[in-house]
Amino acid sequence: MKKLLILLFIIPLILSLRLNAQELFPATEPASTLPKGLLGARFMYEGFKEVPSERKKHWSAIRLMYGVTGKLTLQITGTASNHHPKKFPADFRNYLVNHHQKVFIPDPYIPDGFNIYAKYRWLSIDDKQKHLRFAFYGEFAKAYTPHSEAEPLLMGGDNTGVGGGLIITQLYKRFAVSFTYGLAFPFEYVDKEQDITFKSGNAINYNLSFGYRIYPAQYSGYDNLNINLYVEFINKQYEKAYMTAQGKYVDFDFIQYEDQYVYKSLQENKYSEIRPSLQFIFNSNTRVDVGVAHPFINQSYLHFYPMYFINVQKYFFRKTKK
Amino acid sequence: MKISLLKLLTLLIISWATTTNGFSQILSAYIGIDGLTCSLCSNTVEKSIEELAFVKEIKMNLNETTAYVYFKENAKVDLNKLAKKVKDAGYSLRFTKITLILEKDSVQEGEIVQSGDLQFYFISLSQPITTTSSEITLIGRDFIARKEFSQWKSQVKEAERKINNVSNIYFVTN
Repeated sequence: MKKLLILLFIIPLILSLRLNAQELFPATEPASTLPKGLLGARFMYEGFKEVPSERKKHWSAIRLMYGVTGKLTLQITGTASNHHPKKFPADFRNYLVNHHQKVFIPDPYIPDGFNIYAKYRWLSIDDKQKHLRFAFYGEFAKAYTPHSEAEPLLMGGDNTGVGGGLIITQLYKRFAVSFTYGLAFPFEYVDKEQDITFKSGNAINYNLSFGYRIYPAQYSGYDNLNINLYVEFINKQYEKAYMTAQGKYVDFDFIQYEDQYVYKSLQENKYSEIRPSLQFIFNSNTRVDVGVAHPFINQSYLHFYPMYFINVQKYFFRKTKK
Repeated sequence: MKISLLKLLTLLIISWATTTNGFSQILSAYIGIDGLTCSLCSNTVEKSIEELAFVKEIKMNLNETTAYVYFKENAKVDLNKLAKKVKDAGYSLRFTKITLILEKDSVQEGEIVQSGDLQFYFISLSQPITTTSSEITLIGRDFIARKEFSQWKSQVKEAERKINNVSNIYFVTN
């Protein structure tokens, strides 16, 4: 809480320092798209400690992004993690209750899915060092492993499903803000062999991101190291999970007395998570983001807190012979 | 007398230069790019423009988000392609200025001037042109800020009505 208060104090301070804004958000997508024909790659990592097992949980992904046209950007992300079992164990009730316990078999670190994301920028109002942009996005995710929480995640590896929404990004000299309104529809996970189905809830996202350039105040060249500060709010609302086994509805009430955390992870929820991060850009190309996620209002049950994240991104410019 | 002789000589050289190679006499463009703030974004725009075959070099001012684009000599310069590159990079031109070498030292409003293989229609003149080298501003949806273009819209439409084939003509002012 103290950290949060310090953070809330820092934002207006930075605003008053007349620094420049940035919109290269680490946790969300801006409405801006990639230049036509430009290829980029991003490595992503998220890590947290599972409670009470104290096991380290890892999630990593490689994303390729490409500017199909100046207005249309495509992204393909492949993910790997130790968040899920390959399939639900036969004794899935035991799994649900105990999978965060130290005695339980740890989930393997395996490639677990992919995501295809398309973003179309349909309106840009540009001015000197400012712009207002609107974009639509649509995504499809495929997961090869079962997800056992109500909150859907279409990043690949968690839920198979579709999503889409609207992004509005405003850059006004020293102030950059971006708002994402998106819907996520996870499909039902079906294990025919064991006759188990699991469906995470449908979700609404309304994320809010702020970004500021701390350094340099003035550029002297492309080789200037850029340091940007971001504060992002991941806000989500979702329905409860629905599970069947051998054709019968699974009532999660039995978990309530065993593990409150797991029980809550299967119920409907509304939360806001704050993700402050620092971004370093080398040679106006290589981008490194380092950040942490904290609960702000309620919390997500997809991960424990604090959750640390790192992104490394690079563009591959075509070589031009002159 | 001496001056007019010198002018005549310059004119002769220019007309020889333009008629022999047929290429444009634009060696650089000065552009302002809107919607940019970060050096990473400027870098992507610069790299996009560099892909154009007729571009020799680009010098970007990261703080002002302006750039000098230098063209190769004897290359077929296409200013529409330059504007398209900026647009396809996700940004827009705030202004586009070029230094034009004219075949004569006076131009009237509504006059079409040939420079190499490019044609320029002087939509308006803020002051009379009295030299053979003049900095001119391009007027077009993709060459200037949206707000500014709306002020020129009616004049551009009127000019388009007067000219039969507008495909190879750039509308300009000084």
